[in-house]
Amino acid sequence: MEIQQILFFSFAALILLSAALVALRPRPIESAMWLILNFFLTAGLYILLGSNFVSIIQVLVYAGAIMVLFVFVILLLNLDPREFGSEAGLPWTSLVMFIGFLTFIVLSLHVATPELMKKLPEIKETGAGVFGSIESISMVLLKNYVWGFEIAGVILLLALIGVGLLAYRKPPVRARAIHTSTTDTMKDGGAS
Amino acid sequence: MLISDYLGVLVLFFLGLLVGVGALAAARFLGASRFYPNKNSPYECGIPSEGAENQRFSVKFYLVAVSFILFDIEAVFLIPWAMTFHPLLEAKEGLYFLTVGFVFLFVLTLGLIYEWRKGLLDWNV
Amino acid sequence: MNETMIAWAFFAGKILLLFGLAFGFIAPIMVWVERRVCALIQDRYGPNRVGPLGLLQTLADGIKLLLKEDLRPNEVRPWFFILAPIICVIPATMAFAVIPFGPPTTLGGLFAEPKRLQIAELNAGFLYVLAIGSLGVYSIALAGWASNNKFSVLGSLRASAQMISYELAAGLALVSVVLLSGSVDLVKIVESQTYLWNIFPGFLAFLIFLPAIFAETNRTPFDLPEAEAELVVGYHTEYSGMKFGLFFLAEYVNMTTVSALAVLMFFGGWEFLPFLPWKDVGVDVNGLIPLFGGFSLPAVIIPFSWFAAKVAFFMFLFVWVRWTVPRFRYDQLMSLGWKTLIPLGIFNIILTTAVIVFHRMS
Repeated sequence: MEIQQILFFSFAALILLSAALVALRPRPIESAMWLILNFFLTAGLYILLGSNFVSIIQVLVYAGAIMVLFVFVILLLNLDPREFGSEAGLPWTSLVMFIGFLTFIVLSLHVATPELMKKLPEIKETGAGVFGSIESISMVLLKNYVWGFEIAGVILLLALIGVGLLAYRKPPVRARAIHTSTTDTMKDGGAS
Repeated sequence: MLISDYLGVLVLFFLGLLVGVGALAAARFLGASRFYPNKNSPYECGIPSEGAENQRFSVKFYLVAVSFILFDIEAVFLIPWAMTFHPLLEAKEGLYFLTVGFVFLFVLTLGLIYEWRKGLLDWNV
Repeated sequence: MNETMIAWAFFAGKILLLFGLAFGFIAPIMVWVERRVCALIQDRYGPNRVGPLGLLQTLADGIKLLLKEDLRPNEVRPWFFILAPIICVIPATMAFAVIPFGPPTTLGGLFAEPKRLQIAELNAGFLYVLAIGSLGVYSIALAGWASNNKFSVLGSLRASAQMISYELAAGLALVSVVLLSGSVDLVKIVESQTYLWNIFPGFLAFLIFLPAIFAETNRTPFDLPEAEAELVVGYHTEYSGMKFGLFFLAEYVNMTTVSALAVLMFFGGWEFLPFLPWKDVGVDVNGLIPLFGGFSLPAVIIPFSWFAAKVAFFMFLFVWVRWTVPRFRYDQLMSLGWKTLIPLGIFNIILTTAVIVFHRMS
């Protein structure tokens, strides 16, 4: 086997393992940590595919931004495992669901890939620089998929409005008072 | 080769792990052990811990995290846009570039204005 | 030696140099500088007993931290409590993989073609630093959660919210650097600044970037996560000994990385003066400097030292600001981030593009 294949299979195995652990661990924060690892390994797969830019975005957006929200919610709710109730069957149910979903993805990719492959040469032509590099992706995005680019902005705006509607609460009048004094204590010198 | 570029990243990952685990392991073996139970009590100035340790926190933190995701994705979209600036300028397509970017930035700003007007950015309420 | 071996030695040398500098030199020296400068500003002596000028103080502190008892308070969640400081050090180490510390050079004729002084030549450039830097949030969140103490949890929530808010501001400021330099590759960004440093056209971007990196590294005036008056010391309330030491170490390594990033992005990296690059002063980065006795050094050491000096200035700035500016209140911090820096960042992008496009067209 070539080194690329060895890397691919080890990444793939680790991805499956970490994904299973996400579903099986009892504590939400543990699941979150495994999910972060999972995103990292997926970024590794993108590197193997030659998609530098996508792999960095994978880490930046998924591991660096979306998981922050997950971890925040876990910290904010700060639930004790005892509060979850005893749904002993849940891990196994989720494992089965996970495998089912995975099969679905693999099958649909199997069907869809030939269609996507037809489009590949067209994309390769427009690209400046190496395929999968940030230069080529930028050119393709701005030249061929500029509507997608703009619509992405609108979708994000709609999501923002959704957040506003969900989280907005009229502020109580009392809380308007602003603290006027700030007392600051200096830190003591360095390592102590 | 492309993958070999990432070798340095991998090496640094393991060096970081080595520093972390090594330092903690060294401290575990070298460290003093004159243990008595009070040493392990949670920090609260010597009195027993007050209040529930799993209290809930302000929803504001959640809002910040969600807004962060959305704006972060927008910033990520802006990077490829900015990358095409010089090639498009060379190709005399500067105005196309401006239009595309300004429409996107306009939508981004609308989102920010919405949050602002709605008071979601105010922390002191 | 054949060429492959030289290439491997070069690779290992780069890693050892940066890793050794960051952990073995910069971090210890910075701890000393911090305390001495603090003392200077507050008109006292500071550490001056251990070694000449107290220089060995950090070494003594390090030994002290190693010999401290390894405490694990009763209420903590054991594995995560240990994991958090380790997770803190890893991104700090990984982040400097793409930081170039000198111009591409043949090292005085050792290589046929100029090689980059950069550990990993990634296509994504500084986006890698942002991506890895954003992972620092998890160690803080985990530390707070694992400590199972209300001060810690609140401190870690504050720290994470602050870090992500200012990461956004930093990102927007860097978009305008991409607009100016036309690349995300740090070496290319420096090369684009040969005759005009980005600080001049990108002054506004720098004004956004500077507070953002202070907040990213949780330094005063943005050290609210530690706000000892209200939160004890935030997320590391329960940490002591070497576990605390690792958080402390990572803070200084992160400071070095972001200082280097600021120098590369805005201050021409290793170039000599704003409008005067090394090649115009007669320094050939591929050449050799003859020393006495027939020895010679690669001339790349000059731009490297200059780069180091610039980074050192930024590190000093971090310390200087820490002992000069008082801490923000939390609502002030959030409104500075979301209501000032982020709108300013968007405005700056529009301004930069519009000016360049209309300048080109006229």
